[in-house]
Amino acid sequence: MKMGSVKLPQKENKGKKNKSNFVVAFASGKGGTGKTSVVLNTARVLSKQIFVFDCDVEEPNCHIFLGNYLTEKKEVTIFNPIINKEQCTGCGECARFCEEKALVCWGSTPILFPEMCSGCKGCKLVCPTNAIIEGEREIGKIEVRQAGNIHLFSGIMNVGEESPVPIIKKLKDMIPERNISFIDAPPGSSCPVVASVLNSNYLVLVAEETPFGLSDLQLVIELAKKMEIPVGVVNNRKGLGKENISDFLKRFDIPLLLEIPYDKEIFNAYSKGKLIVDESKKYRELFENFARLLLDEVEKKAGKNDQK
Amino acid sequence: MKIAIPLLGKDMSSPVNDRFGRAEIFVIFDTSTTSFEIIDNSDNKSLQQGAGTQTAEFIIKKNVNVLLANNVGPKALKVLELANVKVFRVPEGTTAEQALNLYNEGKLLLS
Ligand code: SF4
Ligand code: SF4
Repeated sequence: MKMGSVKLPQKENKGKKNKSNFVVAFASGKGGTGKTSVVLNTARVLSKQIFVFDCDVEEPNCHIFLGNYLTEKKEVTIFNPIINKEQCTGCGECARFCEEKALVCWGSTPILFPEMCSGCKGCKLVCPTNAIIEGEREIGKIEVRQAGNIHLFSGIMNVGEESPVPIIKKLKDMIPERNISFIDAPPGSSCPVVASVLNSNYLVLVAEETPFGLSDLQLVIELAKKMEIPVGVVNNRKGLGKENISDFLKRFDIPLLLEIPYDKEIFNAYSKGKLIVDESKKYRELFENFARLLLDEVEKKAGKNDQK
Repeated sequence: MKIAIPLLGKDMSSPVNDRFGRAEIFVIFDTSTTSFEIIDNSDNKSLQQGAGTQTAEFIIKKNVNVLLANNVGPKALKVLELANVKVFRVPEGTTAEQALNLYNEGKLLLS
């Protein structure tokens, strides 16, 4: 599919209001592909309220481009097991159950490594003597900002925590109904990416045409396939590498939704913490076309998925 | 007394494995019988997280009193400490036999 070949009239969009409730995740096989800038520029040109979730909780960066209009900040806490020594027999059931290996037990009261605990409560459930009581532990924060049409929810993981997954889950609990939400997933193709992308209606992969970029891209494409989420690709910084992304994507039957040139102007805006669509008419148009194409794709493919 | 050492090979002349939690093989030397036993830690070795602490639990359950190792992470060290296992640091590249001799001669330092 060529960029801009499909134009979706505004009206049609308004007519199907209930259908415009969907979640689009943005991911990339590796870091540094400019994913955040694609997410925010696209969100900006949509002429409606949009909810963006920054799930890169180890290094959230969306807020840098939206100014510091903090409207809400709250702590994220999860279940934390507290073991009552009097009641504990040292049987080790809890430690055997714990998938995170956060509990260690060799016959006496187990020791807990809180930073490894995901708060699943499994240990509490399996303890035969009810020795585990419910405690709470702060694992990070969620910050909410609003700038123009964008409502940004950023997860921030506390230093020393081992897994970003619990905070990503808490963040995604805040996805509103009856709206369009964008998810900015962390880079890579591991557990935190799966947690971020899970249950999305569509996945946009931001890639670059370097050999490394393409092999990383392939990993995420395979992941999306397993998760049964339809995929489209944005080629950021076209002309940077020598590989050919369209040939590559044909092999997977995946549409190339947008190609963004490797342009100093974009880079300058980015390094000043600005969105290129606010600075340049040319790029505003490019992203407007992309947003339309994207919404069209999502309605088409996510709709298909619903009928399954 | 029982002394545990993470190893790269399966006999006393193999060098000490410098990655405690990821060591597949441990030797446990029993000073009262001067015999040794080779044990397999491959279940813990491949854990995504907690390899160190699980390995510590594993050797504690073997009633080990002393661990001779090159590099033990802070969490595993905490577990071993709570179970009263003394951890001594051996130089990189030392064989199990050499490590035991150094320990007997009192030449090793506590981790
Ligand atoms: S809550 Fe879950 S992860 Fe945490 S210690 Fe219990 S079983 Fe392990
Ligand atoms: S399951 Fe309960 S009784 Fe058994 S070791 Fe864990 S806390 Fe103690």
